[in-house]
Amino acid sequence: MDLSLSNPIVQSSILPLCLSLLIAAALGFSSAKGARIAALGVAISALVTVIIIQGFSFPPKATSQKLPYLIAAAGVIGLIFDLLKLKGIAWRLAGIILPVATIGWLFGNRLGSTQIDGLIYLSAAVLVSLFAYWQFEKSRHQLDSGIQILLYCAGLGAILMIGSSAMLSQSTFGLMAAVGGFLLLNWPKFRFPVGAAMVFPLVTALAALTAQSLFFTKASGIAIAILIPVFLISYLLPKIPLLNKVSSPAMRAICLTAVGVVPLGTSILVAIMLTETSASGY
Amino acid sequence: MTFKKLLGTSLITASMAVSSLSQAAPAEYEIDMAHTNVLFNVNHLGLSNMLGRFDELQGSLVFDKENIENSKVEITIATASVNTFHEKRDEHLSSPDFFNAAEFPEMTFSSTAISRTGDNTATLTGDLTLMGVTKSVNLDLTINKVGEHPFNKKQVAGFTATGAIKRSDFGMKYGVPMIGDDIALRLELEAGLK
Repeated sequence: MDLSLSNPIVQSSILPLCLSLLIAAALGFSSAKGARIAALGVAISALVTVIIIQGFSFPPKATSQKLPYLIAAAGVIGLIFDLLKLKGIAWRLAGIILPVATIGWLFGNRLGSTQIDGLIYLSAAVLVSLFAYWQFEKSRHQLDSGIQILLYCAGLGAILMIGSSAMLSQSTFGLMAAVGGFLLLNWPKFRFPVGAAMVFPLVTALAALTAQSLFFTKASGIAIAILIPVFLISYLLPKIPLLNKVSSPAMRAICLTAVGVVPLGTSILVAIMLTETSASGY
Repeated sequence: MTFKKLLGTSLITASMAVSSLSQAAPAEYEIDMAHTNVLFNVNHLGLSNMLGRFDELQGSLVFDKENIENSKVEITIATASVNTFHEKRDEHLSSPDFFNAAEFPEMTFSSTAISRTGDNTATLTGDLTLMGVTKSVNLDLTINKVGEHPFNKKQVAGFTATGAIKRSDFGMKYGVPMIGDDIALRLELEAGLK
C-alpha cells in the first residue's frame, strides 16, 4: 500500500487518526493543564488533514477554501475556553454565534439571492451545529457526543461521495478519523475531557461542510435530514429495552454506536436511491 | 502655390489618410460557435493525458487584420458545461473539487494585449478569471486564415491559440500532483465580419 501523503486513504483516515491520537496523548499525559486541552489534538489533526486534502489558499475565494481558516479560528477560541474554564452562558453563546458567523461568512453574499430551499439548507446546517453544541455541553465527560459526531461525519462523508465531491467527502472522513483517534484514547477508559478546543472547530467545520454539500454538490438533502437524528441517539438509548440497562461507559459507547448505525445506514441508502448521478462507472 | 491649390492638396491628403485608417480600423466579428472550441488536457496519474472541452461559451471579437495589436477578444465559458466525454467524471469536474460550477458558474478570458511575433503569429495576453481568481496568461496565437468564406462569401477569420496554466494558481488544488497541475489550453476560433 502506498503510504505517501498523496494517497487519499492516508489523507482521510490513517493520518488524521494517528495525528489526533498522538497529539492528544502528548498533551493529555503531560500535565493536568495538558489533560484539559488534550482535545486540541483533534483540531490540529483536522486542520492539517483539510489542508493536505484541499490545499491552502490565501486569500480564500471559494467556500471550501475557507474551511482551514474556520477550523483554526474556532480552535483558538475553543482553546481559550478550555484554558479559562469557560462554561454555561459563554458556551451557549458561542454555540449560537459560531455557526451563525460561519454561515454568514460563507454564504452572506448569497443570502440576497437565496431561494426558500437555500434558506432550508442554511437552517439545516445551523441546526446540525446547535444539536452538536448542545450535546457536547451536556457530555464533556462522556464519549456520547464524540460518537455522535463520528457517526454524522461517516454519514455526511458517504453522502458526499455519492454526491460527486470526493474532496469534501475526504475532508469529512478526515474529521471522522480525527475524532476517532481521540475516542480511541478515551476508550475503554475515559481519560481526557471533550474540550471546546475540539468541539468548536469540529462543529464549525461540520456546519460549513453540511451547507456546502447542500448548496454546491449533488448530495441528497433528504439523506442529510435523515442523518441529523444521530445527534439524538443518547436520548433514545434509555428508552430502548436491554440497551437501557447498560451502565459501563465502554459498553454504552458500543450500544450508542449500534443505535446510531440505524439513521446512518438509512441516510446512506436514501442517498444512493435519491442522488441524481450518472450511472456510468468512474 | 495658391491658397486654392494648397487647400485641394490638403483635402486629398486628409481623405487618403482617413481612407487608410478606415481600412485598418478594428472591425467587429461574430464568433461562429459551431466552429469554436475551448479545449484542455490534463495529465492523469502520469498515465495519460485526459482531453476535455467546454460545450457552452459565448464571446466577442474585434479584429484588425492590419494592426492585430488593436484587436480584442472576450470569452465567457459556462464551467458546468465541461465535457470530458464521460458523464460521471464531468459531474465530478463540476463539483467543488475542481471547477466548483455551482459557486463559480463562469470563467472568463479577456485579452489585454496582442503583440505580433511573425507574419501570422502573435502573443495573446489576457486576464483569465477562474474560481474568483484573475491571472494574466499568455497564449501563442496563430492567425490561420483571413479572407472570404468559400461558400457564403462573407469576410471570415480563423485563429488557434495555445498555452498553459497551473490550475493551483486559481485555487483548484485538489488531487495535485496525481491529477496534473499543468493544464494545456487550446482555443480554436472562427468568426465572421458582422
